[in-house]
Amino acid sequence: MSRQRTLHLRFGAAALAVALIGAASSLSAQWTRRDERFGPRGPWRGAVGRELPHFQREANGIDFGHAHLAETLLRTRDSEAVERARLEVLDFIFSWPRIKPDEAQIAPRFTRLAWEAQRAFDWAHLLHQSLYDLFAAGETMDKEAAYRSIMDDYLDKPEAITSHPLDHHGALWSFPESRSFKSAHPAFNSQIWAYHWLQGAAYDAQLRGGAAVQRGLLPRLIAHYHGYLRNPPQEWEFMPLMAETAPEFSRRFPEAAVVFDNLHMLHDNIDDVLSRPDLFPDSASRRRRILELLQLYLHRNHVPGDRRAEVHAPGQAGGGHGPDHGAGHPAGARPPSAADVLEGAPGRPAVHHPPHPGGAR
Amino acid sequence: MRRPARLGAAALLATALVTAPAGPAGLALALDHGNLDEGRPVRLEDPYAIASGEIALEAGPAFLARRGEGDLGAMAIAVQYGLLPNLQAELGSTFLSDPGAEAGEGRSGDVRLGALYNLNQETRLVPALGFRAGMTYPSGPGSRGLDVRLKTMVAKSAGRLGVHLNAAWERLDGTARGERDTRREAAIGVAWPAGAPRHTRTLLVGDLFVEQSAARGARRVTGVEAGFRHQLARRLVIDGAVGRELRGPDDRLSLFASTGVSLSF
Repeated sequence: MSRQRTLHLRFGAAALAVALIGAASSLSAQWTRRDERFGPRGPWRGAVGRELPHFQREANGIDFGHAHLAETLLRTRDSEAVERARLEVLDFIFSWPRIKPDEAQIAPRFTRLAWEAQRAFDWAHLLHQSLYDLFAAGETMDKEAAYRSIMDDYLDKPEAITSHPLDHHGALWSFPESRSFKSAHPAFNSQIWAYHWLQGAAYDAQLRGGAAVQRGLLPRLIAHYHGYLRNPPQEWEFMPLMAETAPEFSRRFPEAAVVFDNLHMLHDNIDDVLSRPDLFPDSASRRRRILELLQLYLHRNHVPGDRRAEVHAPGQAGGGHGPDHGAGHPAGARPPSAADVLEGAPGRPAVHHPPHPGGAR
Repeated sequence: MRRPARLGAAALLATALVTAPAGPAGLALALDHGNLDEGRPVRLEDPYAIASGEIALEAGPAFLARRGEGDLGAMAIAVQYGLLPNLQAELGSTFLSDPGAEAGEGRSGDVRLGALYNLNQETRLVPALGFRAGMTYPSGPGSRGLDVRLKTMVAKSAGRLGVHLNAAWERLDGTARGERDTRREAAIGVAWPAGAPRHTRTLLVGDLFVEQSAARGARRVTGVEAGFRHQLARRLVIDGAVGRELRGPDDRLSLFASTGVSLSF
């Protein structure tokens, strides 16, 4: 074999090795385990479907909303297309679906882009559903003990969103991409916040009594929520917080309330990422950013040994578990609580604060 | 004869009904109706295990029209359990209308044990991979030999269209003279959620399959099948499928059909 040929072979082998290493590195960045889990078991399971079927159908409709939005933003940022998607979500919600839709089939691209985030969403949505079921179930049950068991089971899993209060309208709303979705698609953004309003407020209605009482109260909250869907509350400058919409639930079950606030904030953060092709121009950069954000929210990164103190709510650095009031109330008009609506005072005066220096574009 | 070639696909259909895993979608808010289990509704299988802690029951009748022989009915039942994240265990059996007949990987009443392990979730570039190992214990009347089966499943999607590839290898014990001791089979197919994104309760699926005949030197069996899975309630799915062996031995199946139900709790 000539020396030149040997050199060519060596060069080719080196190039192949580099290509293989590059491909392996690219693929390894996308390798993730599925780790699907069945929800917690208990006598309360399925109680909402049995006792409060209308509310269950509203909840089923909401499940479509986030998934369809994420999938739409991965396809287009065209305002008309996004608005069409918003109206499709409304159509779906007002179809009162009897069965929860399959989010992986609604949003296959998003599921493949960031399964880790979808897994965290799914696990937190299961917590939502489990607690609705618990509060709709028989009144003789020891609900405090059942709640403790459900929360412990939830937080024990690696995909759990933390119950540690985070600085939502400060650090977590001040990223370069923050507020992008709200700015670009204010109606859709407000519509999503309306889902979160109902998801929170429903708990305070549930805590007022057994299933019969809830059957009387929830339709009033749902009617109020439908008003938001028809006229999205664009005057809200920040997502509804559990302490505002469901103060009683937040007082009695602060860990769950914090998880839900964190869940909703993560939804907003990810919608912002998907709205900024200038900052995240390709799938790899979007995935990387979403996974960075996810790490801020995962419970395992906060307990034990907090590695994400930079996003703690002010005054909560010691590991408290109260609902979010750390950075004061967000500016602008704020959503009513469940009690406000049920007692006929649907609205709160605007709270005026200077805008946060970091976020607005 | 330990395992007749003439029942090739039918056999698989029947036995498939009992060696099933489960599949795609979020955490277990509801029964994973997008699941492609072997035999539920077609042989095509996705690489995902059922959720950790989930229990699933599957059952359904099948009809097998054999060329030159009498038709055969089959009833399969199976139970699956999510032992750990990404790992499921299974136990099942198939009962035939003619207990003396042979179908699938054994005789009527043989017990099948199996496990499916899913390596990963499909992402943008990486396909999902899964492996299955199973054995058939000869508990049926006149049955003999412990069979072992290994299988790999790969899934990759384009948009909402899922593309699946399955390949299996089987070691047959107690075979008669002139029969194979090992067999290979493969299937390729697609799955499509009809009506998505608005409607996600119905999944259509179809595949092409090829498998070695049981008899040495006999023509390999090739066929086609199509079916659906439809979510009736939160944890209840029905399915149905029809298929036909297009090429193969003279006594191949002219038609096979199945229906079934899956219940998760």
